[in-house]
Amino acid sequence: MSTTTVAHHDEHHDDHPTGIMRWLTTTNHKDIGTMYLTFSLVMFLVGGSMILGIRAELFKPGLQLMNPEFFNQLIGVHALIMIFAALMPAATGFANWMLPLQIGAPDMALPRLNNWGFWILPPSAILLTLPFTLALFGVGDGALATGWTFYPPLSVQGGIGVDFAIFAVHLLGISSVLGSINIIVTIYNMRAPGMTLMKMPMFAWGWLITAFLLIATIPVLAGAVTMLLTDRHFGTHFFDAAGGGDPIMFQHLFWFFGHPEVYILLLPVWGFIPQILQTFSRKPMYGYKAQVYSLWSIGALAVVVWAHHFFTAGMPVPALLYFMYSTMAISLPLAVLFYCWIRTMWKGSMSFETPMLFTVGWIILFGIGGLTGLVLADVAADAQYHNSYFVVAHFHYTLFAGGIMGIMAGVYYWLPKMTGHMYNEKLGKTHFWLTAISFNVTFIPQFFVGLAGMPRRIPDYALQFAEFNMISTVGAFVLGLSQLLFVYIILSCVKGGKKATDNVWEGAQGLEWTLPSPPPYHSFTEQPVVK
Amino acid sequence: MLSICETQCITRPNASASTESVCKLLLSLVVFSGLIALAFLHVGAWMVLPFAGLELVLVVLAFVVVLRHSSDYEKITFVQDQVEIEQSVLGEIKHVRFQSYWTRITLREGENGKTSLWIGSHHQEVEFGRDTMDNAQREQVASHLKRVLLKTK
Repeated sequence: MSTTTVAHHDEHHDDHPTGIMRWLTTTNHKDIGTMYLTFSLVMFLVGGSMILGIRAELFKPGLQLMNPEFFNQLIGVHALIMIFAALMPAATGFANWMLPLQIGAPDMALPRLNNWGFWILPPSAILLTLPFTLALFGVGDGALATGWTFYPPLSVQGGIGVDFAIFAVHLLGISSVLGSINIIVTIYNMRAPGMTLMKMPMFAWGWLITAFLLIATIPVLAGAVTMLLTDRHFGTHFFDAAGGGDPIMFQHLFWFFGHPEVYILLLPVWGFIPQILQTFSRKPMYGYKAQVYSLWSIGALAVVVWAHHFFTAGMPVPALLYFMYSTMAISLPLAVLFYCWIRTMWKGSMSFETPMLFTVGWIILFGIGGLTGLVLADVAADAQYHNSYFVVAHFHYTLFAGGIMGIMAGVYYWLPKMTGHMYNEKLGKTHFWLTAISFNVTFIPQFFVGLAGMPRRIPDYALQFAEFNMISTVGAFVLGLSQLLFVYIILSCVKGGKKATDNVWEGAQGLEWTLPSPPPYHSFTEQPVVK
Repeated sequence: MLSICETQCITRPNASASTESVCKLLLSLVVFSGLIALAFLHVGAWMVLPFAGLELVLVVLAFVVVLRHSSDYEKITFVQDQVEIEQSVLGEIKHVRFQSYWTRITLREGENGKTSLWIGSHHQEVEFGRDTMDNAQREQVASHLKRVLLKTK
């Protein structure tokens, strides 16, 4: 009773292009995730090289290697690259790789949009750095020298580097918005049957809130830099006091985006850190609901505290008090998160493989970043510390330790799943210790010189700061060079190594660990069901 | 998502969001982003508004594109001596009818271990539940269809 007809079984679904076209035209979430992560790593090295130039200049007082204008350009582009082209793409790369696997979806909801979102990034990175090259040929006067904040009137008076940076920020913003839309739609509509919102992995929650924040704040940044552009070239006076404008309004606009941006960089990390903790503590995550609500609280508070970044610009006292208290309020949900992370480890059967080392180091160092942030949230104290190296040290504890070291924990955690090979554990641990120690050698002295009054963004400084700056520069070079070890570990893991099992880590939980390592090109050909 | 009764099998693509929940989400995004843009408009930064509007249009479009597929379905209905297969993709409905007596149910296994379920008669075949069912569900549907077809013979 069976038919003899041979059906035309369409197998194209399992095919995929090879060579360069695979990467240019791919709509596969894992390919796009890999491209994001690779781009992020390259830009991390580019941005890191820039800061090594700066630290070399600061090794001793006086001008040694560069003029002040070029020094400022390096600082501004370093920050823009690290924030927009290194940290954000790294988090987006993880989202692309892991979100579909974690929620049981075959791919992202809008794969073509995903491809466009990535391919906007390289041109924007070129736009950011091109003015350096153009200046070598006598065109323009280099990149933007305003710092990453674009404050007018300096940015209105600046050279073509500002225009390049404005267009780069627009492209980076478009890329972020496309990515956010894709992530929201994917998480909302493509969860496996049975996976309710409150059963989602914490990483999905972290990214969902991040995507909402991006949707809410990117238009403000886009509007602000467009107004800057029209002030520069089309005779408007949005930020020109002489024409009836208000330069402080730019600061409000910028930081309305800029402060949530900090959480945009950190929330995805706060998402997967508890997953790493539960894996290597071999016990369930503590306080899942409390963590979800804390992430939401932080997301909500992120958009109402922006003016603490410019307390000294001049604001009415009630506004100062409001922004001080609201900023300090963020420490409450953050304290809940810290408590949950520590309780997850408490009495666990812990082991300290590289991802766990980075995670524990991350908790301690990011904790320092959070506590020094409380100091800066205090209006009276901030009047002393504003624009000093204390601020530089604080936000590097937040964004390097809290952001980049978190990303490194994620890389070591998921690299065996992504590549199918185990990385070299000994080298991984060496990388951790080199990074953690040299990071502290770099930035602890910056707290001291900041408290002693050394201002940021200067190529020269008073003799009294010389020793601490020397120590900081030595630390920065060790930190920078130890990242080459990170690159080597990744490349050798991609190339080969001990075969990774499907579950990779003994205590790992979640749908991504049910797939082979590496996962097949089309992840879930069968719809998983969550009980 | 599969539902089976004696005379009907319906399968739909997995969609974890209901239209109502998406509407609530979009409304909250519009209100939230709209309030921010209007607040900045109030202090003279009107250029935030068009960017916010453009972005919200993109968000809505993205959900429209995705939710269009949420109404897709595949249905097998037994009507007297006929087996009717109805496949709806983006609102376009395709009907195929086979005479019950001659209808054959075939479950084939591909090289990757994935099965495919075919319903056919007289050199015409239709694949059912290619992207909406897993192997176990295809087996379940195949045995159910065979059982119902036997009754009609």
